[in-house]
Amino acid sequence: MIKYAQRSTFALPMIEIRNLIKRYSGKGPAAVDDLTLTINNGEIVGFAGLNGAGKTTTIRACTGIIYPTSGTILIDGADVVSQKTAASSSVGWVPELPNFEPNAKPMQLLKYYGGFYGMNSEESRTRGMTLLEATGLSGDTNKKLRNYSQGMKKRFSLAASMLNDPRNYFFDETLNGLDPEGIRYVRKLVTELKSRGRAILLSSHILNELETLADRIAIIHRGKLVEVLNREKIDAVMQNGGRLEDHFFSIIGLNV
Amino acid sequence: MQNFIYEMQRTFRSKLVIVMMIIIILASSLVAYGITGPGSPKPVIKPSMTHAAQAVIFNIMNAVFLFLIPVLAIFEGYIIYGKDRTNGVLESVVTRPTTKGQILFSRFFACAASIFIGLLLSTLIIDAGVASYYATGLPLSMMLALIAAYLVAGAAFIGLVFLLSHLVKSQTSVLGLAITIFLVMVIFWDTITFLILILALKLSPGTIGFGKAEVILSFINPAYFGSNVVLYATDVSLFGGFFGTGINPAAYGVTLTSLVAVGIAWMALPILSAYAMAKKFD
Ligand SMILES: Nc1ncnc2c1ncn2[C@@H]1O[C@H](COP(=O)(O)OP(=O)(O)OP(=O)(O)O)[C@@H](O)[C@H]1O
Ligand SMILES: [Mg+2]
Repeated sequence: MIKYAQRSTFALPMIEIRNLIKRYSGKGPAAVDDLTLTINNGEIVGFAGLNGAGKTTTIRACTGIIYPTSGTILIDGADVVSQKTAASSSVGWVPELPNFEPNAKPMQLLKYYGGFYGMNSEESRTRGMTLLEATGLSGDTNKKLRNYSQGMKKRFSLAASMLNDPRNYFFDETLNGLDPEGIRYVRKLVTELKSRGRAILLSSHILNELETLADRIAIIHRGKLVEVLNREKIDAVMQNGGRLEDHFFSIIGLNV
Repeated sequence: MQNFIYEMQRTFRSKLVIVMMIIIILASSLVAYGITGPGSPKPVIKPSMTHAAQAVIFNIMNAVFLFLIPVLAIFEGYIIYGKDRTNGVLESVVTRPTTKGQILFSRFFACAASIFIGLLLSTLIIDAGVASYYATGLPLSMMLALIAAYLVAGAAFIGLVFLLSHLVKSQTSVLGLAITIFLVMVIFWDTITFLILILALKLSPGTIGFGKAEVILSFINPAYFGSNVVLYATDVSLFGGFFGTGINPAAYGVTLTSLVAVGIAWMALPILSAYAMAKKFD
């Protein structure tokens, strides 16, 4: 039985990706190539890279949607492949492109998902209502998801990711597609989750989004992790009027 | 395990699955009505059940299930799994505390259970109809054989659609291929096998080789598994080989053991292959 408030292994690094390789096919370069990255408790790690760099692939492997070709991913010490159920019980995921059963209403889905955490219908409803309110959807609970706008779907996937108050989050381009109010909400949310000791991986190709929010920024290029900037380094780059973006282009060797 | 049961129960309670069960039951009720209804006025003294009468009834039931079970199984497999798998909706479930295997098998078992319950109830309804006309109902062993045979067919077609969902990427391809499978394996199988035997294998109808080949071809198609079982059990073909080969497989060395073995293989192989595909290519 997975109770949704399991808090036993708090001291372990929350998200640990070791030597992750993912190949979609036999030929060609790997989509993610030997990536090692740890995201600790109470840490926001920005995950930056160009289109096709491998951000979504990494996140999908971490959430158990795709299997690593090799390498290990541990969530609170549980292996995502061999201990999938345990690993998933402490993961919240917001997909790049939210995709939900179009004919369902939000509360129906939240109740369904809640069942996987041992939440009964009433618990899911109460928790779901709080989350739908927090994400600004409390006025749209009678609509089917097919009638949600892209941004509303993103808000719904935020709510769905927080259902069991997990300790780890994967936000894939979550700011993308949200209105200014939504962006402000997510920024506040991420900071709040951090203050409650959650580990967060937040992918984006817009570096400005990450520079104020992230504790560290991991830069991925053509599947390889090319640099992990810590706060001091980020501040140093920006200090002399420098731009993170220029630094980014210089390390990936691109002249734009 | 808890989440496996949770997902299975949820699938089993879905509207579609319930509608499918009702369709099976309604169709068979019509058959029962045909046997006992206005077409055959109820006799004052009920006639005793003969082997010939049994064969007629089982052949009629077989003809109904032969079309109904594959259609419903394919439809269920598509709506319950294929659609969600190919449009990506399944991903939002996979990331919950469960596994791909659990989702795959729990949904598969729920679909198979609905086919089983539909078959069980319809057979009981037909039996009740028969018992109201004849002095006795149908022999239990033959009812069980028919249910088991069409559970095999149902599970095989559900499994095939699950497998398709892991082989192709789009919803329309899964649906298109599923319909193709239905046309090839249910509607045109007799024609296709006949043409293969005559044109490709140059066998002439009526010869031993032709019969043997026909029986073999009917065994590589799960839709005809029920027909084979009925022929094996009753040794009477009513429809001149239209619904199935019309040849008792026992005449070509098929035994009960081999029937059971083929049945188990048809239930297990498609769904296990679907699981293997997910493990290997996701
Ligand atoms: N399902 C798939 N099958 C085959 N190749 C894929 C698949 N998904 C992604 N790829 C390839 O893997 C590489 C990494 O893609 P990925 O989606 O991880 O990039 P990304 O960093 O998320 O990009 P973006 O910023 O555009 O979202 C790309 O070369 C892409 O073509
Ligand atoms: Mg991406």
